[in-house]
Amino acid sequence: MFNQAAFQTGRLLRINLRRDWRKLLVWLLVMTGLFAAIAGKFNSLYGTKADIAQITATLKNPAMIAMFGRLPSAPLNTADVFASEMTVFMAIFGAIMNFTFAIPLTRGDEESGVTELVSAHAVGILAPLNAAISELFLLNAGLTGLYLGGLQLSGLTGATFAGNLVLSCGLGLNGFLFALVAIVCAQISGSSRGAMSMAYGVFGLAYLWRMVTDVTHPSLTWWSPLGWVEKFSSYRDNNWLPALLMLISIVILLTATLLLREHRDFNSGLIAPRPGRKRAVWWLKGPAGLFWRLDRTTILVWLIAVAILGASYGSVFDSVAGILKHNPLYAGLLGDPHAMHAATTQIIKSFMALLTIVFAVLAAIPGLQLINRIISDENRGYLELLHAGPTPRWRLFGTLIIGGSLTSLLTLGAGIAGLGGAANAVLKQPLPSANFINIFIANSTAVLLILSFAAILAGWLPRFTNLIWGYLGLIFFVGYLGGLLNLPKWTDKLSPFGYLGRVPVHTLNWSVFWWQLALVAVCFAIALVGYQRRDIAAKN
Amino acid sequence: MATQSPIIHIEQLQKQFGKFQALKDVSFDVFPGEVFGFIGPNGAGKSTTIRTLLGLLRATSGTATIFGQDVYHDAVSIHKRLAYVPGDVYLWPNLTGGEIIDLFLKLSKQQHTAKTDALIKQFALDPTKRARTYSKGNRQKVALIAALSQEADLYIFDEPTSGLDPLNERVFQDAVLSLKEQGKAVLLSSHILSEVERMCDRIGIIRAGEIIETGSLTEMRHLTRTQMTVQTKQPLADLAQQAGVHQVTVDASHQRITFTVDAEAMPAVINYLAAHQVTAIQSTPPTLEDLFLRYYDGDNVKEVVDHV
Repeated sequence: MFNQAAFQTGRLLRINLRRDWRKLLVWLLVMTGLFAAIAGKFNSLYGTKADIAQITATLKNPAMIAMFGRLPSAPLNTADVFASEMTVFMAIFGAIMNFTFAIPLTRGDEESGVTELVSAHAVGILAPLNAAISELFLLNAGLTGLYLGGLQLSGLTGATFAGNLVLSCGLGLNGFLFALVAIVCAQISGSSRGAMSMAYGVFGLAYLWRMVTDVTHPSLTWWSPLGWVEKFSSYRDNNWLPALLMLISIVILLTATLLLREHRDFNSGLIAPRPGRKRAVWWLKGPAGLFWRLDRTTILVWLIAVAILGASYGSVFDSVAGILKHNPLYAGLLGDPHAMHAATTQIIKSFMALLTIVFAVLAAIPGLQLINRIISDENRGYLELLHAGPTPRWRLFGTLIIGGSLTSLLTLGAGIAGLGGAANAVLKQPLPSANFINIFIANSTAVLLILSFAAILAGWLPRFTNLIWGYLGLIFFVGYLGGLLNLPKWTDKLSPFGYLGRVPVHTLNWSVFWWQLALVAVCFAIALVGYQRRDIAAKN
Repeated sequence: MATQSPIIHIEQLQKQFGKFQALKDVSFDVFPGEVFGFIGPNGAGKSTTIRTLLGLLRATSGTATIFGQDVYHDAVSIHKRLAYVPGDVYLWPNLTGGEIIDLFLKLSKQQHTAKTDALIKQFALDPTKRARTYSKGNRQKVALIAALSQEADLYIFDEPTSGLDPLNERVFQDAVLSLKEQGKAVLLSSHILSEVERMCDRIGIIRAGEIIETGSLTEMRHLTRTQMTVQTKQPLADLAQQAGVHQVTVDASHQRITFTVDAEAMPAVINYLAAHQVTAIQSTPPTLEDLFLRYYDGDNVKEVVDHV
């Protein structure tokens, strides 16, 4: 029976690999290259005791713990610092990588009709699913091997083979675990888009739980799958218990996948679609109404999720303030409440400047998705009938540009408002709201610039629109880790955020604001001209 | 008809995709009150021509106008008076059929009228279902209902019935014939040649990016031979020697002779037959399928990839 259901899995796997090999290769190379290169750089960054002591003090701060995870107790060596800085970061990217493969391989192929064609042949009912799971397993196994090789070659001081092994396996297992989370979502949700949102929702909850418990109750971090990677305590304890937990979860998720697959029909979720409206609502009469109707749920979910993330970061700010009292460096200030307050404020401000990159990059995502609708919907053939109607091209694209910009700005605002609201709720001496407004103003133009680059690609080079996601990844990498890795100054200038100055530590630079805003307008105009002139592709 | 100015006017239209020339030489006119059939094999350039007419593609050279306006530069004002149904209809999976019909009507500044409801009933569409759950035929119905309930001067249909059942096909054909009676212009691209034969006043045949024939079915029939089967009292010994007579076969047991005859030789052949005392005669005009096959059969029909 099982043989029957799995028949031809191997052949499907080979076909899928032939189709996906470029994408697989890029991810494997970028992830391994990033990881190994950083490991290699760590000896020069944090080679001496003094360097380690300094970074330990920084990383011990609750705001840093919220971002990177908890640090083992002193004394630390270079490898310990590496593991604490990089584990959560690589686990985040590992999950994103697995989502981008898992959903298209399952629901994506069902939606495009590929699975239907394949299943009509002598192919087992579960073969497409098995082939997808096998590909994801190979991807994560390959990544584990490459990580291990990269770490061994990097010559990281203090690294042992046992530590390298536990770290590589931990990240690989974490990736496969989230791949299966996505595949379970793909069985439940009604569409691939819905499945992707659901997977990111689960991931977001795991991240939030890890973040909050890391700062407040580290023992509770065990309840987040994303927390397990930290609990490996690579190099220090080389604890294999989380691996066991991951394996058990993987078995549970695999069983759930098979059970759920049995209980659903091809290309439909477990939730049966309800009948909808017979007639359109009055405001569904133009591009703006259409895109709001299509994306309102996504937009609202993003706003709420980013606001919650902001509030979670903000809620640990009192611990940031509290840490000064225990720091001997600041002991002299204890008697002077004014100086104490000033020092606290300064530290909080610099963390806010660092945190902003998270909100800014997250805020860009829903805006980019909206602007890229002009490409994804064109490729799916949805726009053909719209283009045959009297709506001018510039109005269609312009609506998405304005909608995307507003969505991104609102999401950025929601994140910063959440941060500010929660911070001021927990801080004894609240920060003036001007700080938060300035952060918003400073980062708004940089976020819009990312959107405007995406619009240019959509208007002129529609086949290369996915490049913008690579660029966004680069921006995040430079902004999030650039400082800790001591990257050269010019790398900062690759990102529009590199020109802003560290608001609110530095004052808001209005001239940067104005030239970026002008550049945004020029880019959007160029994009519209391109879209007005180019051929519209038929469905492909 | 020639006194009227054409609704669609295409002259030496060319379209290049990189190195591939999808359209080499396309010229034809469509006049008010006529249904123009546009036929040709897959990949011949039908959809490319239509997508150029809609301003979705920019012609490499040549002119194409609708209502006397340039199809690319004046797309917006043209589209106010145009309705279109593509061969493959793709719709936002989350919207219902009813919502999409209303949206398209509103985009064209039109109302959801009693006619819309009647069409929904005639095509037996459930407008409360989401597009995700519609079959190809049902998605096509959504586009057809939106297009047919629209007040337009030109209707463009690109293989509109490829997913419809025979009942719905009939509903569509009746709707098109009533458009014709109202003096609208219709451009119909189709593979269902009986449909084209039934509805179209004039036909254009495209092959490998070139229009190789335009004209009415009657005119086209003149280009080919009519098949005749006759029985006569007197033997037709010298039939094969008559000008314009081909493929003579004799069915001795039934004393029947079957042959084909060129259109221009028809009067002479009829006279010749009459002189031999015809007892039974049957003439079969060439079908569009015969015409079509004559143009394509083996005649270097290249496998052309759909580059649209």
